[in-house]
Amino acid sequence: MTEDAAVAVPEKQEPGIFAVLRGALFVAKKDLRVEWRSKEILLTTGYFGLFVVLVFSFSFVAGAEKESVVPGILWVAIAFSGALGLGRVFEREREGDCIRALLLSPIARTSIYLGKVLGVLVFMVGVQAVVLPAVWFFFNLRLSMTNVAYLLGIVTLGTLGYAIVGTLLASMLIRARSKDVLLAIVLYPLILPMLIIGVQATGLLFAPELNLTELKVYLRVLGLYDAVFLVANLWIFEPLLMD
Amino acid sequence: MEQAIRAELFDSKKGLPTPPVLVLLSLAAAGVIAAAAWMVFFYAPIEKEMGFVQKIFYFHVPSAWLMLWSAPLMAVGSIGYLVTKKDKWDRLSDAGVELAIVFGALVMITGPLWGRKAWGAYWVWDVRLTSTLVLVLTLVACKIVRGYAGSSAKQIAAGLSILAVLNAIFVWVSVDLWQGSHPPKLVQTLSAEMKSTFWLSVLGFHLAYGALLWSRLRMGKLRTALDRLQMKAVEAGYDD
Repeated sequence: MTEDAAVAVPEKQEPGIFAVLRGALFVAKKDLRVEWRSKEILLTTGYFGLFVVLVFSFSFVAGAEKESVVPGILWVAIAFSGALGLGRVFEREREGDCIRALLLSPIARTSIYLGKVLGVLVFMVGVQAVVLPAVWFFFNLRLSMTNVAYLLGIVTLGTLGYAIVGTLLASMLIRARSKDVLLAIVLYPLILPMLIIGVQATGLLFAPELNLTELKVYLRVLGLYDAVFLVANLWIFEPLLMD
Repeated sequence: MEQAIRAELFDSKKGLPTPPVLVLLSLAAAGVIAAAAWMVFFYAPIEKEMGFVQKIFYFHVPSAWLMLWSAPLMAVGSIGYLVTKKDKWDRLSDAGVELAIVFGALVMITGPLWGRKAWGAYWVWDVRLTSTLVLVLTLVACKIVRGYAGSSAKQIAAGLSILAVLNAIFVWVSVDLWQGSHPPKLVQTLSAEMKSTFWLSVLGFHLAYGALLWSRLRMGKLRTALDRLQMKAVEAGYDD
């Protein structure tokens, strides 16, 4: 009897990389579809991001050199509005009381994490579609096309790192009591390297002459940050969500 | 019942009575640190450029080293806990986090005092300063989360302390690209009296670290034992 039972339980198999990615796409698709129908997170945080930019514009507009202020404002707006969105990553599952169902679904745990990262990434790109033009508009920026391309590169790499770290923290705190405050206090110290490099690299774009060597170093460090934290988080996520 | 509780607390080899080696270690640490402090103020010469303020160095550098030792300690504890889910790894991780915060705080107190004289400012955005600050902040956040996160607090704390170590490395790299003004390694340039004072201080700090680590691990263990016994007592019908 016991032997039969043991046979009946399928052996736990490590899913292949494609299976993991497919699972991740499922999770991301689900989240994005829900978001697309309600537009709840995008509208609220995008609007909030706009206000962060505005508040900073009011505070700095008089006399400050915009080259020294703009990168900071841009990244603070990204960090703040991102934190607001991260607080909602697992909120729908929590409200619908189906976190357990998500965890029990026949996909790898890492798929859930990767899917959520993808969702956060798409959502943050949406927020930046509001924040970047707002900064450009209110500060009267003039950037060449190449610099715009670099800016998008920096912001994308930075956002990716933000999504990678932020999603892990958000999923860690699913069951925590004072989740929102806890997320804020663990998130900001951990994304600091990304903020420092993002601000510095963005600052380079406003210099009269573009220092390409330095910019490339910054981009590489950002890429490394993303890669290292992605690998570490994939490993940490698995044992983290065990019941 | 009471007997069973007593038996469980006292019978395990490292039970309630403080292990004599731990007492000796603590006494040795206190003695060596006192001797080092005496040497710092009465034996080591006054440094010619920095003057009296340089003496902070004898406490600042060992604290910084010990803060750095704590990083692998808590990383090992955290990884061990995530892999095995055994409480002893969690205790190691927690002890590492706490010691890193304690010695990090010492670094953050002594550093600015020295910096005020050397740089004319309490704080500059230097590599080591910034990464120390961020590390300590992350670890304090880690302790806060451990306290308030509820049932999954241990896993979260373990994950966070791994991320904190990785993050400190990245803060180091990023600020290094940005700017730098912390004095380079000074130990080789010291005079003989300064060197002996310094190394004695280092020894004292390490002994103290050992004693603290041991006590903290022991405390964690006793706390777990106590919790378990309390559960047992409640189950057996003892209300208080």
